[in-house]
Amino acid sequence: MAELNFDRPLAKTLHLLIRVVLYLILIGLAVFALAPMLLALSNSFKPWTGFMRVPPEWIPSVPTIDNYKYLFVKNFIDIEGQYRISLWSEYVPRWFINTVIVTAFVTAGGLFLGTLTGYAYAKMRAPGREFLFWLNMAMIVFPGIFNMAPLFVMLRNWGWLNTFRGLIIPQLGGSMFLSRQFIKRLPSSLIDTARMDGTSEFKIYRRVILPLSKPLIAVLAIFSFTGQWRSFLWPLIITNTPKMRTIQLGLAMMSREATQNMGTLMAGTVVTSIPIIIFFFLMQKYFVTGLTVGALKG
Amino acid sequence: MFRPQSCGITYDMVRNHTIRYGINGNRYTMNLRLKDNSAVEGRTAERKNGMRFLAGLRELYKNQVFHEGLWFYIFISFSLILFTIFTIYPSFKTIVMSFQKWGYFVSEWVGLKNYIEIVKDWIYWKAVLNTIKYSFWTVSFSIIQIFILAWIISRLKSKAQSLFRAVFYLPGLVGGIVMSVIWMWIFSPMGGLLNHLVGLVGIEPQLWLFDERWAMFSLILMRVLTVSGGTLLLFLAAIMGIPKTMYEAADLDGTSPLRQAVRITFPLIKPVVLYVAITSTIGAMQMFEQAWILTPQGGPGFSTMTMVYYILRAGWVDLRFGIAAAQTVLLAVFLLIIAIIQFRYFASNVEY
Repeated sequence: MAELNFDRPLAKTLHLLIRVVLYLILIGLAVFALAPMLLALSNSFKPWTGFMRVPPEWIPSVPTIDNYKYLFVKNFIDIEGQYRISLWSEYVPRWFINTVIVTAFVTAGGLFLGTLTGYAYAKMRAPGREFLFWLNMAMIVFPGIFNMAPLFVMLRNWGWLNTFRGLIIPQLGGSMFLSRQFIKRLPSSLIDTARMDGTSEFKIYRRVILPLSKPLIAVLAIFSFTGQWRSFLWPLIITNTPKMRTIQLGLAMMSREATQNMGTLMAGTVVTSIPIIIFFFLMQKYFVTGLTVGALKG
Repeated sequence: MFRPQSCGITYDMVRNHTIRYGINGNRYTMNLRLKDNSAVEGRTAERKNGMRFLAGLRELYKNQVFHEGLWFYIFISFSLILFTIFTIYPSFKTIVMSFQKWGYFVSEWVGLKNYIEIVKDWIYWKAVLNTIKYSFWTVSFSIIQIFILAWIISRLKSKAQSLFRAVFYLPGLVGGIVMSVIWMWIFSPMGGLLNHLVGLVGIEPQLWLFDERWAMFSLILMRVLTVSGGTLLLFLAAIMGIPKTMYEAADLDGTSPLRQAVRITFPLIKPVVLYVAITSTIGAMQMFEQAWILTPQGGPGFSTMTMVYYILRAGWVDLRFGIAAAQTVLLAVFLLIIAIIQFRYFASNVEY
């Protein structure tokens, strides 16, 4: 807080009052931001009938894991002694595996291509480099929706619908801006020395650039992982069988088809978010530095 | 091993052909050309006649400029090819497609017919208005709200700072789908949280998402209460980056912190505000996940139909890709116009 010299007591009280109000705003917004998630967690342990109670219970009086069972177990007897057959349990693990496969491949491939292209644009001298870079940039800023219809028709004709290659390959190109900005700031002398020794360009990339770009790789991995785990539009368009859905799409489909089944939906949201939340707490320090690198210093 | 840099020869000299070096067997060949054009000839390797062409190629490959350029194009080719096939080509194809009629199997040229049909379609204009309404309210409210938040958080101690950063970052992190499903329960007219909360202050229970008057409001409310963590971090970094000296004069004058925030902090981070305004408007104009989950079929009376939702409906439900492409082109035009307006507005007011 800035040190202020207030002689008059009225101003002092006013100052204090403003401060209290500001903190109240902060805490209020924090509660509003976090409460839905905590409530979803608590709700996921409510029995099915628990959702009709008025007023809503903050903490379920009779906690149960039926909702999670409904996601993963085909037949079971629930807390009220009723026999349940789950229609979703067949698919939920499959959706999870699909999402893991797509996320892993897009992240790994995107990292490799992103850093390689970024290195080329940042440190290698060639005719047409700036032109190609700005062409690349101009197309990146176009929203993803812009090429959706022809891309869909094209991939349909290729028979790429409902395949992993359709989910993965079109997502790979393009993420080189951040790498370029980062690698540009690495000292050129290291690379030049290696070049004069006759080291091959790919070896320079692997032995010099990659080891120096660990923070960059962390940031790119974060963007790619979170982006892919949450991605919705692309899987929605490219898949139409329940088997090939990703977890987000599966959850969305569940939410449209099982609106009465709130407990299961809440369990679904918890299961869907857990990997990303674990990832966040593991990589927290990179999250903070990462976001500001691209936008401010670019 | 010969290292040019060890005798004071810089890389740039090598690159500019002042000095060439290469490997011929185990011997190095050097041609030095000094500034006064007197050449220092090194030993050149003798070559067999038949090998001359291959050796020429090798020489070319050893040439730094060529070598670097070649590898540059090899390196960018992977992503450039992917990019051309999956982004550039379809983007141009969108424009072509918008003048065509696309059935599931056949396509024919129809000129401006698609556009005329769209312009005559009242649902389309409803979608445009909804999208603009949504973007305007969420973006303007978010920027003010997140600026206030960032300003308060920037004055906290570092431990509290990282706590609040994490708190505000998480909801945006788990994604639109998860948040929408959670809010589906909050808005639910049967045992939902919101009706309970407004009941506490004496407001009648509402249908929220199923009510034409409230559906769009509900979506805006949800977006605003889910603080965008990325924007917060950007604002925070920008505010923390302002040098302390900026505030010293104001402190001496006894200007209140609130006045400082409005008169000093906000103008100084305006470039970041511009960036955030443009990117988040582009994001908000493309909103559809929330509408898709919370209000199927565009909500009551199409009150939450958005532009992207309508594109998807035209293409993937009605299978009329020509119409979808034409709508995409119009969306791009809208985005461009809005970005230009914002840029002009903010750029004219930026003080560095």
